[in-house]
Amino acid sequence: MMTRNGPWALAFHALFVGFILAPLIVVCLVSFTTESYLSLPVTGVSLRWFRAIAGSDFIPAFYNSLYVATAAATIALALSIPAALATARWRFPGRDALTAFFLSPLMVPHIVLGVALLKFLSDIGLSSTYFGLIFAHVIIVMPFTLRLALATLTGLDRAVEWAAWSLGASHGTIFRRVTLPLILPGLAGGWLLAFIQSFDELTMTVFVAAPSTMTLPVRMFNYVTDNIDPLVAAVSTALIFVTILLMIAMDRFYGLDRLLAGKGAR
Amino acid sequence: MAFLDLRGLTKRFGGTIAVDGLDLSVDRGEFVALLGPSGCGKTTSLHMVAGFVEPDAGTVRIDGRDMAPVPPNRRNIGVVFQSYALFPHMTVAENIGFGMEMRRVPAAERAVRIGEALSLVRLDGYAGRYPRQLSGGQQQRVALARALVIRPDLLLLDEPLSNLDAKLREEMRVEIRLIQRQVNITTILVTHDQAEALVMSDRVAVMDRGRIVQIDRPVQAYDCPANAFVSNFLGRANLIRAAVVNRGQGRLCLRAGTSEFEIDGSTEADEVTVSIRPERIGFVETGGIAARVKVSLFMGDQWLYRLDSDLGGLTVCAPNAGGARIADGAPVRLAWPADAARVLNG
Amino acid sequence: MAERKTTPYLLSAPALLVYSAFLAAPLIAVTILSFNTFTMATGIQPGFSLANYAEVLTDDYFHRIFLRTFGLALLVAAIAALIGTPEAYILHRMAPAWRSAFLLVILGPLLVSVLVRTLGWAVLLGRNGLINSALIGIGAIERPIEFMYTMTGVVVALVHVLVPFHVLAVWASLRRLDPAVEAAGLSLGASQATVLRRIVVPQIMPGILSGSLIVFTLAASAFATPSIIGGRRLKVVAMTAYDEFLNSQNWPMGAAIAAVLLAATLVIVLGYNRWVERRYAQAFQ
Ligand SMILES: Nc1ncnc2c1ncn2[C@@H]1O[C@H](COP(=O)(O)OP(=O)(O)OP(=O)(O)O)[C@@H](O)[C@H]1O
Ligand SMILES: [Mg+2]
Repeated sequence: MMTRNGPWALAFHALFVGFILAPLIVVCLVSFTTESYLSLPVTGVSLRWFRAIAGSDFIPAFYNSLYVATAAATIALALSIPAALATARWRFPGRDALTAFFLSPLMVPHIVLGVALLKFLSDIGLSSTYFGLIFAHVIIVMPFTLRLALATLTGLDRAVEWAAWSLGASHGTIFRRVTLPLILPGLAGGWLLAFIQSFDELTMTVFVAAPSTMTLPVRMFNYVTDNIDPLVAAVSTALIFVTILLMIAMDRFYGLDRLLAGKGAR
Repeated sequence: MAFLDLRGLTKRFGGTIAVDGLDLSVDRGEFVALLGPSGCGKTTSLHMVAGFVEPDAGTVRIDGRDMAPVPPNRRNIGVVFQSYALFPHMTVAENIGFGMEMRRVPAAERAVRIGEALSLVRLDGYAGRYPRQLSGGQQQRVALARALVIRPDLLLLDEPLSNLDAKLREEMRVEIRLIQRQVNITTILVTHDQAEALVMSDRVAVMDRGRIVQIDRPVQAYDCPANAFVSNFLGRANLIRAAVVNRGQGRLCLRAGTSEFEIDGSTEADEVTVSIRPERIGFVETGGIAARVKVSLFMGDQWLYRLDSDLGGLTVCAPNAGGARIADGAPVRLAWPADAARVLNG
Repeated sequence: MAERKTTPYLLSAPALLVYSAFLAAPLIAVTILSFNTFTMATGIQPGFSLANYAEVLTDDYFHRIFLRTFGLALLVAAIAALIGTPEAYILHRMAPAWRSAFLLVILGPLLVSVLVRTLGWAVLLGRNGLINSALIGIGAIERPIEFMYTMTGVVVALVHVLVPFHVLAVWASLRRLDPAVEAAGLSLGASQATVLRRIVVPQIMPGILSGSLIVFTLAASAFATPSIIGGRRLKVVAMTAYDEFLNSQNWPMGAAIAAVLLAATLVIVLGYNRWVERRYAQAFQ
């Protein structure tokens, strides 16, 4: 565009960006305090609260989150690829209903999923198991992996696969040598998005996780309902930095706005 | 029996009928152009031959063998897609080598044949590039090399030149034709460019709404169009509606408006449509048919005149011989040899 | 490709199986649960009773909670639309390099845990938080203002958490906007403001509407932010269900509350979509 934003627009933009960043920056700043209560590090900067994380029970919770998110994102992706192939490549009765069903977790509030899964998992004796927790997360993240798989598949020129076909490749070879490499960036982006969604999920997990399978967000939630101190700020700061790294990775793979377009829309 | 034989090939997409009972026979080593307007079913026909699309009815035979149970990967057909469809994640060499890899050609032989194919399409030195690092014309030649290197029994080209600029397109026409002769491979070229069809092919098949309406050698198809559609589609044509005044001995005397003229041909009907190519009409001093220049268009090597006459609007091409153009609005007289006009069926 | 008719069903079967087990079955189970009854003495009693629903739908206590929740959601959606739409347009008009940098800054927080972002607001809004310190520092106020455990605090924090969704929705529709259309408007003599009002806004209206819907529904079912910033005094629906399940152990009541929330959400989403589609059907295919 030749027209640029005027001074008022830029002032608004600065305020908006400030509003978005302020709480994150503040969390980072207070986590470097030398005091044992929340304060800006005016007297001195220290890493004592980051060292304190090591001995706390945030560490096992972090590992739980890591396991659950890795497993859930991977399973969701593995289920999404064939399902996306089916809906992208075939016209069959029930196709639209199936797609709507696969995307429906986006319409169900997580609190509802949480109570439903709490009831159901305790009915079938899977409460406080990793198995139940992981599949609960699969339901939550699969709409994201499915959507990205669908988007990349429909963006693929059929003729490229047909070219391989006419050159003598079987269906399996076409998928392995042509289709998969071409949709891989989209799938990787979907996996990362699913991983982050699962890693950050709180509302449903509060109901499903047991003390032994407690994830990091649940641990943090329970912690901050008691008190907010520099320790939890330090944990948050660490999370922010990990997220920034993952975000840069995702931006490389797929473009953040295209990726997140799947996150908001219902 | 013909090498490639299509009988009653039909394909519907929902309500629309894309290909409607297509019959076509192509001899071994022959180059046939499939020509027709956009949406007439050329690509769909090609895809049925290649096996990507299953026909609703009809048969595809190659060398006498029914292809229905044979999947595309067993048909040994080389396809050049309109969009090239190169594998974007593979280098030029890997693209070209893919088909041989599928055929388990040993790596050493593969390398030799890739090199040969690259020189054939004049792309030596490009083996290590990725498709996105090539121009449109280069990509097109890689697609051609990839299709040729598997030594297919049949080569299908779907508008392979439509994305090239005019100059490169003319070069590639000649080049593809030379390569085809050199390896003597049966080829079908799909195009909606009539000049391309006429220049490159042994025979031209003109398609309209899912059917082949005429198939002939280029000269024949151009000079003796079967109907108004073909005559209009293959080059420019003046279509004149005229009443038959007199007939006999392969000659017709026709009248349109107040003018009368004679042509070669015969008909049972009392009224006919005749087609006259613009380049066959000449300006004469006396006699002929009176007309008035409406507008003249400069085409470089020729002038194109649009005229009003008794016979309706006419188009005339005159070579640019260096003389002055005829002014707009000037009265002229037109004439043509008796064999220039064709009586069209229907 | 020419293949058997069963192939797509086989390909979707694994996902369908997981969905049936971990989505459909739990939702059915919890619906049944909501018709059970509960007393402190006897625990959960199976059977079919509408008592829980009757209580949720008639009791003043629940009315207040549902009203508060949906009122809060409406306010948050309105504020997010009011500030998110211009921000998206400003981004749209930036030079590409700046734009992608700021997109990262504004959309990136969506990927940061809601807890972390809420925590930031707790730090900022507390009695001795930064905002109070700053206001006292410049002499604007004498005694700290209470933001924590107030509606203002919850609204500010929720807008912060959800406004990127609105920016994203509007941004997506702006990206489909043909830049030549704006230039055409200007070349026809319209002022920048007229172009904005008559050409840009009508075209991005679907984005604004869908963004508002997303923010509204997410705000209506928000849990972490209202719990931490609002606390027990400003209970919302999600917290109420949480308390029924994990504190009072009255699962059937919690299930009924969740069911009403789900039903209300679905009615609003589907009704809104119908309305938007009817309104914009002609203009947008
Ligand atoms: N997959 C499809 N689904 C529905 N209709 C189709 C499909 N493929 C082709 N058609 C329709 O069939 C008709 C023939 O299409 P086809 O692609 O064969 O035309 P074409 O002659 O190759 O045209 P062009 O010169 O534009 O490439 C068109 O009307 C087209 O709309
Ligand atoms: Mg075509």
